[in-house]
Amino acid sequence: MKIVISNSSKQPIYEQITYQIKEEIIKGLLTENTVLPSIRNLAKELGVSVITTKRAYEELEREGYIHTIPGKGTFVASQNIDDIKDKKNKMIEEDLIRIIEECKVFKISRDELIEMINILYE
Amino acid sequence: MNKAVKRNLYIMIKNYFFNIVFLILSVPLWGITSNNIGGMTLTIPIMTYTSISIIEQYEELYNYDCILNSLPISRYDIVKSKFKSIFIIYLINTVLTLVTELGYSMLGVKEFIPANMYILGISLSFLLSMIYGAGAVFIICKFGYGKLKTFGIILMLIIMSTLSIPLYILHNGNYILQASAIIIILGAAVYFILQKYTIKIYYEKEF
Amino acid sequence: MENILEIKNLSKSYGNFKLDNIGFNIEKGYIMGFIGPNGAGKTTTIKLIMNLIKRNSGEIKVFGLDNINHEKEIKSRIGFVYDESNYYENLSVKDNAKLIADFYEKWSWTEFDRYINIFGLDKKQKIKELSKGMKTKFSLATALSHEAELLLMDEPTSGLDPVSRQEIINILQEYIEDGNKSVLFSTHIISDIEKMADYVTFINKGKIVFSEEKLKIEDEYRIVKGGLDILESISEEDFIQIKRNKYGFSGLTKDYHKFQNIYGSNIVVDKPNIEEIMLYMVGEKYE
Repeated sequence: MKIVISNSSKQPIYEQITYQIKEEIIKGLLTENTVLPSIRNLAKELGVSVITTKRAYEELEREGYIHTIPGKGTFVASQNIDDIKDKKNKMIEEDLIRIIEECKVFKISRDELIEMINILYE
Repeated sequence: MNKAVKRNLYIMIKNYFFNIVFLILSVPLWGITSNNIGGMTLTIPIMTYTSISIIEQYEELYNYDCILNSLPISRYDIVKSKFKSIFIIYLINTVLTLVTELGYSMLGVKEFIPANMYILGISLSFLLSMIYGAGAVFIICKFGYGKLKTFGIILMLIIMSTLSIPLYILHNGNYILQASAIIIILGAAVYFILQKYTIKIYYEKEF
Repeated sequence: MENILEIKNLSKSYGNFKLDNIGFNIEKGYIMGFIGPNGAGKTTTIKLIMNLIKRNSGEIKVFGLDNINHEKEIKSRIGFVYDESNYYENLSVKDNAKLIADFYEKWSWTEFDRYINIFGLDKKQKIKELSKGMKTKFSLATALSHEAELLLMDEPTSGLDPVSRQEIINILQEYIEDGNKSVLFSTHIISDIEKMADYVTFINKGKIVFSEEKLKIEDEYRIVKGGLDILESISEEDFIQIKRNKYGFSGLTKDYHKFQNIYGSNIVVDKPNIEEIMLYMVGEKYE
């Protein structure tokens, strides 16, 4: 599992953690029933507060990516294929929404954006 | 509480060099006073006072009170340990003084002191050590280490006047033992009364 | 969740200064940053917990026990690190430790030696030869060597270089890893707690301004910035504090949604860090 936190990013740290773990699960790098580090161990390793990792895990659990068995630990939840597809789409959607917001601030039109996408996709 | 006593003794031992020097130099001089026990009643209380003074000075200088009162020990036990330390220091000083004195006497540097005079001497030095030692702790707790100097001077005056008591008792040789007993009881009274009041003061102290 | 520390309606008057009916709790397993400007009441609060000074009213419970009735037991389970070095300067690290070790039943010389090694201290060195940072580390080593369940630290990082500060922060994060111990870390250097504190209690002029999960505080407050023209149509009551300069204003507020809806892209809405929140709050407007 790889988690790299940026202190200068506008994204709150817990969101970064949630996002990166989500990503690895969706990409299949973290498979079903893999044991995840405890909230406290992860906090210590990353040098962040316990509440931060707690919140990250709470988000992930709420969205169905992980589940916690009291006394045993936290595991990657089983993901069915449709769910994964949905989740992948959702992640891309979240990123797109962010980009679209920025475009609006910079006053870049929808067509200009689509053109940019076409060029960059090559 | 005993750990606190151990701590005080540890500080005393680390600074005991001065006392040893003082002892070795002063005992032969006892013969200068008109009676030998005048020397004992000066030496032992002075050594006790010095040790206590150093221990308390350390505390106040380094604000060690703050740490001491953060450790798992009650204020009651802190005061009791201070007083117990006074007594133990007094005993140590007495033993060392007597050993030194006997040593010098056997070497012929000074005369032997008759046994009943020893008893009188020890009882007087006990009383004075308690006044000096317990008094010092009481004054420091109530007024702080700074006021100790005034106290020390007053005490010196008291000591000077008590040197005359042994002279009087010498004339009435029969009553030496009874007098000694009374003096020891007085000493114990000073100890316990001052301890009680110091506990009261210490409970209200803020660090 | 259990509270390791509970303070209720605590008051203390000292001449000019008054600690006024304060209260907050610390749950087991977390680090609480205790922040506030100098003289706000942080040290007073810690001294009251340790019963070094007497409270006028209120209640303090540590490990569920009243801090005066169970003073000795509580103190055997607390590790403390104070701002000033209150040790015998002429004695060595080892000797000073010996004088303290005796008082704790659960003292472990192995643990003490381990921390001394980690901190790179020399046991034979006299305290007076140590730098401020080393003295604090010595203090911390003694606090961690008797299985303490609560660490009370009063400005432990003031006067320390960044490397030492980070060392101490790392040790604290390791300390709470098992979820059974807590830390109360008072400081006016807020950057120390920005990353590692789970909870933040902010005290100002003897009163508690807030005591909350750090993430929740960061969620609640925003700094709204805009041109001076916008400032005219804003009600200052919606802001905790406003700062103006020639080119615009910035203000701390909880009601940022309101402003976002009205002013949209004419204003900037930023998430502040704890330090900024404190700086805004310790302004004149905030009482």
